[in-house]
Amino acid sequence: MEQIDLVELRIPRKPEFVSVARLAVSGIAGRMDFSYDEVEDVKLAVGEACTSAMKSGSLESASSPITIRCESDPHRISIEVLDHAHPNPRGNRNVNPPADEPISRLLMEVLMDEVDVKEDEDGIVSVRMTKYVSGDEA
Amino acid sequence: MDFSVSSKDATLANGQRAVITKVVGKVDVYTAPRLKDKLLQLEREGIHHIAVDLTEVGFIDSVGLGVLIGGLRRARAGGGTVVLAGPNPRIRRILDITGLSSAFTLAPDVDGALDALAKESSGLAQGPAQGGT
Repeated sequence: MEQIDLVELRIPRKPEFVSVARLAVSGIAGRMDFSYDEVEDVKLAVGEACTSAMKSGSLESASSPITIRCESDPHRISIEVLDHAHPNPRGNRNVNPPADEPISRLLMEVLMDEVDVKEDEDGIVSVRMTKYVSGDEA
Repeated sequence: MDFSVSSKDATLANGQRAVITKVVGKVDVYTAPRLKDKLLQLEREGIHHIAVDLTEVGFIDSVGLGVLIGGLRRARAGGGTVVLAGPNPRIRRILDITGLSSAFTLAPDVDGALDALAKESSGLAQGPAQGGT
């Protein structure tokens, strides 16, 4: 059985730290047999997941972190973005989401091979996504 | 790379006033608000013919794209448009994936963008300009 390498990163819920997550994950993907474009795809998708998580919490969540959990083996990289936000009451949610939200979801789904976006009943979003090294799809 | 947004006045071939907004760096959830502020400022000044120079933009995320979409909507509401100049192949790919390459007019460079703005402002546009990088 091949070893799975795990890297976990916890970032503050602040826009300026999304680039830190992108950089870290692209560093991991860059060590694998992905092309330059594939690494860039992973990088953008991770940024989108972090941004979605960042927007999903309530205002009281400003101090709660976002965890990026990255598992890799020679065949694939799987990234989970876990939100530690406080629940955002339904009444406080934005009923007119900005134009970039569907774009964000579309980008993740197109750029990664598998994407599972979950939103719990409190409106908290978590994302798990996987990209396979070419020819190694399950 | 540092992020910056700057604007330069231009006059189109048909005499109309336009602005070239040059963006340098990565346009993401952190930096995009600065581009949004600039585009809102242009709207307040009554400028609706805008060329956004992406030649030195190496990365754009959904928030950055959302800002460009907002700029396009406002420019069209004012009778103008936004032309994207010089997107690199990577950004061109993102525009294609999201379908935005058909919403925006794309030009290979700033001169091409000003030509496209002149055509569109004269009602001569026949569709998106070709040749985006």
